[in-house]
Amino acid sequence: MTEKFSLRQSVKRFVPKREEKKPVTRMGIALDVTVLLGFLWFTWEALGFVPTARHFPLFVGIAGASIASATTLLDVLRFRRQPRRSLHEESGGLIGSGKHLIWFGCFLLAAFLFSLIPAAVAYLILYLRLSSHMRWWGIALVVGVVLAVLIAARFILGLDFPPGLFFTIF
Amino acid sequence: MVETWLEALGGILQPANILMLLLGVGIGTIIGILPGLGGITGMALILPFIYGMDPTQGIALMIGMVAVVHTADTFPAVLLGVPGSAGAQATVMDGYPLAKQGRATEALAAAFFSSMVGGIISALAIFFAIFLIGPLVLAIGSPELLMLTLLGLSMVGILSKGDPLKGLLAGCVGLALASIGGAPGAAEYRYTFDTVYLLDGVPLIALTLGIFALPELLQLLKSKGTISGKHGSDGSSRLAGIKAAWRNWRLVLQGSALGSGIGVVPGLGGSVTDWVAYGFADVTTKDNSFGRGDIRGVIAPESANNANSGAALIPTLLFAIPGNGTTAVLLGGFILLGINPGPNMVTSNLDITYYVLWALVFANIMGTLVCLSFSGPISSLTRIDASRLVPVLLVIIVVASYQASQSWGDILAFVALGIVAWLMKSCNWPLIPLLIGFVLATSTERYLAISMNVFGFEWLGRPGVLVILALILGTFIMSARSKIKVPV
Repeated sequence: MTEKFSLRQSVKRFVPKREEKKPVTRMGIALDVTVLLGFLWFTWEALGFVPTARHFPLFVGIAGASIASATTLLDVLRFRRQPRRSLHEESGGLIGSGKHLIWFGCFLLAAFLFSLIPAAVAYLILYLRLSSHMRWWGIALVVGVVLAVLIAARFILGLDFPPGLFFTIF
Repeated sequence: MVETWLEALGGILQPANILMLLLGVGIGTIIGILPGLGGITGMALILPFIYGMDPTQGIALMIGMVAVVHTADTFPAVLLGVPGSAGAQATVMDGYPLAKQGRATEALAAAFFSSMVGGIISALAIFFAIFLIGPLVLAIGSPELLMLTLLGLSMVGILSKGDPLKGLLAGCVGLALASIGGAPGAAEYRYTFDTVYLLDGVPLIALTLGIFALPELLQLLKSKGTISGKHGSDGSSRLAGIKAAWRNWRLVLQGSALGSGIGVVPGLGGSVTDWVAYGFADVTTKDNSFGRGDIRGVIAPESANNANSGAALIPTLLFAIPGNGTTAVLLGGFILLGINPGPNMVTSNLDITYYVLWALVFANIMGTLVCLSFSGPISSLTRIDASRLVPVLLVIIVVASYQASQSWGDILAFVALGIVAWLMKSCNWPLIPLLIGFVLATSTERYLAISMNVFGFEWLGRPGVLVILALILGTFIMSARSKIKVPV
């Protein structure tokens, strides 16, 4: 047997159920507030556009700000009800990914300075050796295959690669 | 008519034409596999070789490439959770969770088989309906196009499982991001911060790779495992996938019908079809676990997106109206071959139209066979340790994101959006609604502006508008009912 459809139950879908939800974090609330502020700014800016370009962003801005307000309020209420966790516990996942993000950031910086190919070679060699602890022959194989794919993409598919500030290879 | 039909079949079966078709299929497969590259890149690659070529061989080459791009783009969607192109967005929803469960080969096989059937059904439907499609397409105006995009947008509600409020908010973020750049129908640049790069708005490639690839790859690196996780070996088989598609033949037919129907309407891309097919499958299938690795969530969008790409050729051929970027370049290819698309394609040039449709059928079969044969070896990617695979993928994805407009801004946009998506994912925000909002915003705004300028509020009473409105409301009601029913 199933319950019958009713408006009340439809509305209930939008009310968060505690057991189904993951815990709210401080960062989650900060993100809610940032999005809310973003939508308020978005709406304010929309008021300055010519009428034909204004309607759509104005509608989106007002809708976004309204939903963001409701989300922030609900998240704050849930945060107050749930057991407290330390900031370290909440941000465990982010710190774990942060290290890899720094590696990736260094690769992009190297690509910006010395173009993609040298940066990709250096990034792969260093990452695979220092972080993945791969053997040298394996690294040589991976770098060789990636280089072959990139060169084929450049000369057969005619793809462009980001140039470097100091010099550019391909 | 039957004689012309058979003549066209004889034409495509010529060895030289089959060879060209196979070459096009090969190029299309490679282009489709590489994330961020789509049919436009493939067409740009083969266009220089088209000039001076025998028209039948040239058509075979181009159609072979165009027909399989949306088949092959399933590889990155299923294996990495990164849509290879706009038409593979919905495939990610269930394809990637299936890969995580160690069922990548099964998901790929189901996708390829559905894709093939979708492509063939669309071509056959056009064979028989070609004389009716013309007046139908001409009867569709901006109000109906607006309603179709709203139908796509309504999927945000259906796909925001678990947290509808955050889903709607993510959809609004997508709509807001799409408002950056030139306003459709007005000489106004919005939210550009006086930068030249943002005048054209945020590129779809940068957004797609940013919100799907970067957070997922960082998560993989952190988890120090493989994509298939504890499931290790891929125990699934191609046969299981084909059987799954066969068992769900109604879903394949539904997707193919939706794809063909929306595909013949110029101006609506594969994204709309993809999400509409997925959303409809979600509300029409019983006991589904869509979003958590349900094979039906792969079958529905895949049958639709290939049917869509075939049907999109019709406005290109009959009215010389390119439905998307790929068909725009394809149109150029036809002109280079000395064929002038237009209403004459169903009168004096009917043989060419039938030839194109036969090429489409054979390209779909060939593409599926090629992709199926590679699905096993390529699925082994899901068993490589993430710390070895991800750095390579990051390099490829940076290259792919740079192709949006060949500017460092593309990479910055990709990284910035990736970090935002990573934070959103960490805070349990659904990311799919953001993408839906983004891809459909421009069409919604453009068609709304045209409808209001041309018809005022009278467009609300048009029969086509009312039919699609009823469809939207019906979808919402069915979605609400299916989620509220709980065992007592």
